[in-house]
Amino acid sequence: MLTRVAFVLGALLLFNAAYSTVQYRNFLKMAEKDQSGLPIDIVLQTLAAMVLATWAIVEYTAPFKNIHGSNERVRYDAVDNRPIFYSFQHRGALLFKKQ
Amino acid sequence: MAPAAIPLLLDTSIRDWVLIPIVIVMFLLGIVRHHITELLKSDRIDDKAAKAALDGQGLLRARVLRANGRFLSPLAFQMRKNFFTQADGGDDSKKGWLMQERPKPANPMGDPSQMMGMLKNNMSFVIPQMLIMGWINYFFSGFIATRVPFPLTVRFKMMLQRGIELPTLDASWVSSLSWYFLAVFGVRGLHTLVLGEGNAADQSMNMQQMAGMGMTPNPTVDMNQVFKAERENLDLCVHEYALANIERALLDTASVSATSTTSKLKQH
Amino acid sequence: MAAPAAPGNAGNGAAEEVERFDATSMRFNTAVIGRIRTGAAVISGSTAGILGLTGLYGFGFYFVASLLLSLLLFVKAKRNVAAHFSSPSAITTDGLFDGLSTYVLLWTFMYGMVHVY
Repeated sequence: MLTRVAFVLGALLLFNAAYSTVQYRNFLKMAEKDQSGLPIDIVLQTLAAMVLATWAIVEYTAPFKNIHGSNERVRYDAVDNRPIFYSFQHRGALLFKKQ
Repeated sequence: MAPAAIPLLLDTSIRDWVLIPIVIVMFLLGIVRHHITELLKSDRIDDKAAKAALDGQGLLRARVLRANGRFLSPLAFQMRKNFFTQADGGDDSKKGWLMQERPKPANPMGDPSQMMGMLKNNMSFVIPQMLIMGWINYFFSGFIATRVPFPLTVRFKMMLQRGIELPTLDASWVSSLSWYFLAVFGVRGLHTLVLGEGNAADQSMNMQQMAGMGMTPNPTVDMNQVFKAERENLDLCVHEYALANIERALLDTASVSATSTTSKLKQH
Repeated sequence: MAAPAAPGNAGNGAAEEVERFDATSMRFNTAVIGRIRTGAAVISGSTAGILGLTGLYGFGFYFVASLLLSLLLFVKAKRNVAAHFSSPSAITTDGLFDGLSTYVLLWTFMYGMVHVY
């Protein structure tokens, strides 16, 4: 829940920064000033929004699984599963063959 | 490069009616394609796939026997080996499992129905792509759509600024066609986010699926050759029973009480 | 012969010390990283577009953002990379270039929205 809120907040901040930039650039165009560089507060807000949203994405996704499998939970019906002992070449095929 | 040297003013309706629609169309097209492919996919396991699984499983068993056979008693090992490589017995069912003839794989290029299937599959990806490209070329050509934030060489001008005959214009101002190309590659990532891994939204994924088919052996490989190799490996495998002297080894490592027991046994 | 081993370990002798990994978990982790990288590419691409980065600065920003992401992934992996990945460089390099095309799309998009029009 927290991560969702954080992501929405980050996205909104990002959108707000984009809107501010557009306004700022329009102002520069009106005032016929040199169009290069952004005010530091917009830059900081954009970067902060990026960090917040990235953190939210990272924490929102499922946690990593341990690849060593020692503390993994095995499903009850998979306890006895031994794939390399599967055998399809057994007598059953002959026993149940259609005459 | 001076980014703000020539501030070119573009009409904002280009943004609203060209830039945004193209991305949305590309994104939705991938989703529609994914769902159509899901609908058309037949999930019936056919006989061929079952046979392939059987062959693969048998090979795996032979390999495991070769790797871990030393823990079997000599008799058990011999019986399993015979099951795989027994030569005699005129009846095919009594022959070793690896000795039996497998049907030769059909040449995929020779089978017209399979060719047709592949062609159809390709068509379903190529035709929408061509339609969209035609749509973009027809409606959105002849004007600058946006500017890419990275410099492009002059060579790209011909392709990406088609219809705009301005030789002095910087190459990073591009028409809608290049925006389309960017969208084609970019929405792939978005599709993975929305539809999950291995979706049918884009072509490259589909190609991989056709080539790989996961665990089952590739249908174009001649199983007879694979079986022959495995048979030879199994014949070369020398069985050394790892547990031959296991009782003695156990007694050797046992504690004092065990040695006293053996000495008592010797006294008798 | 060495001291009697535990019954579970009797199968594989001391000679073969093969590290075994759970393939399903490995694939799961790689998929999670891929999804995170794509999502982060959307965010960092938009950021680069809003900031109006051009040329090599924009591409450089992608790698800076990836570095930050790797740091966050390191925290997500509970500072124990070896428990979740077979190679220690997995959190910095896995799928590094998968997000690049999405990044370029969003970068160009936001750049166009904010700085061109």
